[in-house]
Amino acid sequence: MLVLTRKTNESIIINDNIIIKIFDIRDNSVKIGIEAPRAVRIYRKEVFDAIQKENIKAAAKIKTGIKAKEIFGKIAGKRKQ
Amino acid sequence: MNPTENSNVKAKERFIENKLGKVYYDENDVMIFPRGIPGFEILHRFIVYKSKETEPIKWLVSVEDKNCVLPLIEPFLVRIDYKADISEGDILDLNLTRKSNVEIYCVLVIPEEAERTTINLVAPIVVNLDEKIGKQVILTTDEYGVKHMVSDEIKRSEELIAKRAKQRSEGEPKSAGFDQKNK
Repeated sequence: MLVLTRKTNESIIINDNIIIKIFDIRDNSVKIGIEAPRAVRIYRKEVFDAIQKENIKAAAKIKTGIKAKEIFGKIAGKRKQ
Repeated sequence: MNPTENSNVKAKERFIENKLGKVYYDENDVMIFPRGIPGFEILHRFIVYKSKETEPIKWLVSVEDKNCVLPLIEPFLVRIDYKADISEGDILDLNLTRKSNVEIYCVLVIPEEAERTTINLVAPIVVNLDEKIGKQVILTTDEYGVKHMVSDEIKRSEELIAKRAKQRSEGEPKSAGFDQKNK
């Protein structure tokens, strides 16, 4: 991993079209601004990690599906009315 | 045997044996997930399996790995006002146009105690049926998280339905013309 040291208001450029700027450094947190083309996806990594964890937990057997379907029955019926 | 018949049989011959039993599928039903899904990044070929036994719960089934079988639900059945604002990058990945046939599902985690089932609203599975491409997109909204209690969400939706019905009946004389469509 490339590690750079930056001060407040300094930036780095990635791939000619992504600019990352350090806005503020206070206590234990850094405020970062990111300028990138709209097609570039930017997420907080913990969101990604949480999705990964939930997907692995989700893997289920058909029996659990049969058990759980009841909880959706009510509202599905109401929507049809 | 006549050749047409033979090819029909062939098409149905594909199956994967997993936690759901023997799941038969047609090659045409396979959706390509170019980046896999988080937690299963190396898997790329999935089908959305609609089991009569578990309806309205459907299943995202990997045809490559028998352990990857995820229960899905249409989010609108849980949160009636669900909104998926899909980012431009994801629209490109999914080759979406205004005319695309799209299906949106959310992944469920069903624990031993089924009443405590949770739904991941922030990362819906989106499939473009025309292009046979799928992706688990991540919505950039603070409103949704990876773990919403389904029972709470349904309660909220029911309250919303009741509130709307009440508003409709109170406002009937004014909006009678618009209401016709919904009846």
